[in-house]
Amino acid sequence: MARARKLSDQTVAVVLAFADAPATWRYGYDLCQLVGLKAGSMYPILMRLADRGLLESTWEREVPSGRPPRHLYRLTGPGRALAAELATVAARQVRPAGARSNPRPGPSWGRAT
Amino acid sequence: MKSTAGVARVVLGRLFLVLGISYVFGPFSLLVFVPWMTDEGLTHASPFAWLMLAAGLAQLAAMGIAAVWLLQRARRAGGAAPSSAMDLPARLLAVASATLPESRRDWGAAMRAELAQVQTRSARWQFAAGCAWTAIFPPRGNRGAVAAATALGAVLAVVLAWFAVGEAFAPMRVFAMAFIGLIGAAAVFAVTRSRPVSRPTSGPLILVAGATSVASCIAATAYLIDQYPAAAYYLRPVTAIILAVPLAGVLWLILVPPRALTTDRWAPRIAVGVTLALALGLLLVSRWDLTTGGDSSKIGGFVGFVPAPAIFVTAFVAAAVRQSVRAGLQVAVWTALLASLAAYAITVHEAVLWYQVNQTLIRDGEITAQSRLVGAAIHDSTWGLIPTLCVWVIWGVMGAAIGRASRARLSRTRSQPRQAGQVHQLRPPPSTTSA
Repeated sequence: MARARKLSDQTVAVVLAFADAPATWRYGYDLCQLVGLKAGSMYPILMRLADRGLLESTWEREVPSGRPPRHLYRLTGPGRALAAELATVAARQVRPAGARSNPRPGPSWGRAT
Repeated sequence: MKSTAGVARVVLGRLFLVLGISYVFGPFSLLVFVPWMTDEGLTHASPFAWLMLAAGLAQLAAMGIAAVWLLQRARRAGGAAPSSAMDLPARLLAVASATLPESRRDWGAAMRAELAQVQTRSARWQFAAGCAWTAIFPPRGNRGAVAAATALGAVLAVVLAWFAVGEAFAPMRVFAMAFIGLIGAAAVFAVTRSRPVSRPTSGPLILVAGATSVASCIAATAYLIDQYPAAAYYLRPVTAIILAVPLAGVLWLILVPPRALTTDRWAPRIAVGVTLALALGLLLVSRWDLTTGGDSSKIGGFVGFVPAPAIFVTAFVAAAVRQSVRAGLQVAVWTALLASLAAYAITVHEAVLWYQVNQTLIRDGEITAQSRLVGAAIHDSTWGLIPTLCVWVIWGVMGAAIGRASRARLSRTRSQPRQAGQVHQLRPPPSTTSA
């Protein structure tokens, strides 16, 4: 796993949203609603994470008739390791204030990816 | 008794016929009035000229709408699924995701599939707009430095052009700057986009023909001003920039063509062949006009009434023979691009010859001692270039659409009696069924 550049707040939020249920395959629109991001921000993040090998994707296999199969995403091994690292850092930063154990990152996460 | 849909089809068909006949000659008014009005600036144009310009633009728009309608009909006739099942957000996303490079095509399908799950109208628009933005400007990876370097190179090239061309040939300075600046801007845009796995190419024939056409336009303009320096008055900054736009656009299109223009291997050959024939025709008509009075009626008639029908017929035949709208469209676009540049270069070059032979202006056949007026050929041809291109492309699109639809109709007509015969043979005789 290589983190050549700092991750944006939004990217960290997406990674941590995946890390909440690492084995679960998630959809793009559901992720938008979960994290509170617009599609125009979410998909570039998903593309970058996939480009860096942090995200794996597959097409839905059991599709109800009348709609196309959806694209599903979840973290890879390196992606989970990154998520764990991010969660630890977040916890360390937030703990002094007595906040949640698995918090969403604040502005201190750094610049855009 | 005809159904409502049948009546609607007939009414629409007749409406199109009327529109077609009414608007066939309309857009040509643009070719006449735009240069005339802008000769001394639009503010000096008479109300009649404004009216004619408005009519010409309206007719051009109507022809464009008719061409799109015909294109949709042709696609359906050719077996394509109707796109009316998609709502506007879905169409927006479909068009935007079609621009994704090969390496990102899966993401386009993913976004379209996801949009199918979004129910409310406003949410669909929001989701589609965000996805469309991503599709048009996908993540570029680590090419920010390359883009910055390209932008710097473009700025340097523009500055260099300002000094070098200003030193060598000052009247072309603004044109050179605009031309190089536009190419540089296009290059910066290109490097910020994801690189396709296999970049489409226009092929050596279009590359050579297109580059030659652009170079001929620049050379003809420089030649005229070199022969008659006072004519540089007509290459004022606005005109120079207006000339740079189509030339830079064509150069960019032949260097980095969209995939939709590169799929038919016959299209470049047909386009170059038709362009050569039209260029030769224009040259011969110009010389004929010059030797028979030089009133410019023949050359004006040729430019106004020969290339557009020629492009229509060529696109029609290409679409019908290749059984593909896309083949016809490619022929139409390449021919219109190359032929319009050839018409510019030949007209400007011939303007010099006309004046040298008997001091006649190619614009209207006027005999004058003011050599400065020869430059009006640059002005007129420049302002007529983009309208001409639009008119010719629209004619080509209509030709391709009608050609494809006609071929599909012919195929259906031929196959129907055969199918009817087969059904008749398969049907058992009455005695068998009664038994």
